[in-house]
Amino acid sequence: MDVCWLAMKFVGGIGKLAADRWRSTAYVAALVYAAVSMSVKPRYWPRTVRDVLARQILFTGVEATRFIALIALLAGISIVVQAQVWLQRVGQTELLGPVLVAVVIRELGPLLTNFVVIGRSGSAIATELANMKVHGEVRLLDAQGLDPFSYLVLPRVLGMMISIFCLTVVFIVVCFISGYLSGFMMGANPGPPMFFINSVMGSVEPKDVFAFIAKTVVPGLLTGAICCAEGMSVKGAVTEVPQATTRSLVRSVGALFVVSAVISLIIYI
Amino acid sequence: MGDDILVFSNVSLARDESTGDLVMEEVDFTVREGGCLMVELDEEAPCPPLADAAQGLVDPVQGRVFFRGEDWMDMSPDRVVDVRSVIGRVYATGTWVNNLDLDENITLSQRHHTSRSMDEILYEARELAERFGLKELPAVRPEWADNSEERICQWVRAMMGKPQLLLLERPTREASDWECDKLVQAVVEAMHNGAGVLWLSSDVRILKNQSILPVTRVKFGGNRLTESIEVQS
Repeated sequence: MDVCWLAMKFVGGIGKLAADRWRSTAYVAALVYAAVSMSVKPRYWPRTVRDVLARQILFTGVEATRFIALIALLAGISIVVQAQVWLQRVGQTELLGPVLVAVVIRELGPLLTNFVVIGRSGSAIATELANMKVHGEVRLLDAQGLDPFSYLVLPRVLGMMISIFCLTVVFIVVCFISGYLSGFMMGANPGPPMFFINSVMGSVEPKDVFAFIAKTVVPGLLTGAICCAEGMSVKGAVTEVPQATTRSLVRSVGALFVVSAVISLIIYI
Repeated sequence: MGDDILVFSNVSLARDESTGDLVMEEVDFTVREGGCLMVELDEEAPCPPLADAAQGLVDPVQGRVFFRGEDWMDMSPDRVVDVRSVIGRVYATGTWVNNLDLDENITLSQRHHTSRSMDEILYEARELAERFGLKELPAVRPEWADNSEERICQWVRAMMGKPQLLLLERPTREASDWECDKLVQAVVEAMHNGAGVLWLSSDVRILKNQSILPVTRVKFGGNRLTESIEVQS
């Protein structure tokens, strides 16, 4: 009897966990859908919301550019140089473009940029919104007729998406430039600049462009929505704020890997 | 007096929806255009959630709250936003958006809901601030402003855009007599322009003030409104 009861409890626990996960995933998907559908309606873009979007892009995108460029510089030195050196040793230098496209454009650029933005801005969004909730500021906005979703969530979700897309472009460009220059300086003989550029650009297929857009836009939207949802889920105790921040980071990173893997599977297999 | 702006019909509110503890029971009143309902509170008592209910921020467990004949519960989300944009309020708690400066807080609602130019909005805000004794709008975060500045900024925000309904929750706490007089003048002027006023106060300077007319005076105690006295002129 006891064993049966324990087994039932165990199965019930798994079911509850699965149901909770499904509910929270559906909630985040609904947030993303609402943000995207509202973003094309001009009435949801009064100047106050445009201001918040501009501030979000400034904070998440513009202010993170130097850090992303630094990461890209270091990544470029290690990855591109390695690729150049090893392909030269095996006499397959013509594979440089495809290898770099596969490593940097398809995977590393979007992943690292998303990581940096989640750590830097995702946590900030969750903490800010959770504090606003605790201090009654969300209610205050509501009382003034500012819909918290359109004023707080919409510009943050879209700001994350736009910033991640642009930062990933910056990452890839800086990564290739630093890789080429460092390879040149270390005597890896990357060839003339046009050869390098043609080698990379010639390897980019339409599906790579699609994968690049999908791997920046979708995780960007999801990260924004998850961080906003976790921040706004706080009920009223200050102690809930760090918990919400931690949850938002864990879930955003999880969503990033799942989305990245699913997109790779869909596009490349 | 003109049309009904705010009507509470047999309204009961719970402190916590899960426990159902009532914080306000069977409240009935009407605020009309150009009229004031003055609610006297005990000095130490917290503000009852009348203003929250008047803005449709809390749902009554019993009864209905109407704004210009529309029940808050029946309004669409877009309509709720529109209606709240014409209500000015001085808040008892949770008064500012902390990541905006005070001047940005003051102009936020007008910037959001109207297409008035920034110059026009700022002109109105500065005029109101000067009227209440502030030389300029404080461009500092709310936590850096002193109490007096913050209080006056709340008054300015409430009066911005000529609201149809003013909800004032103990606005004159710690205010000087001069500031009190200025606020009363501004409120009476708003009433002449057709605004309705729901004023919650425990300040005798306001409760005994004879210039706020027409007024209905009520006392809030034991979760109910009592002792209704209507003074027309």
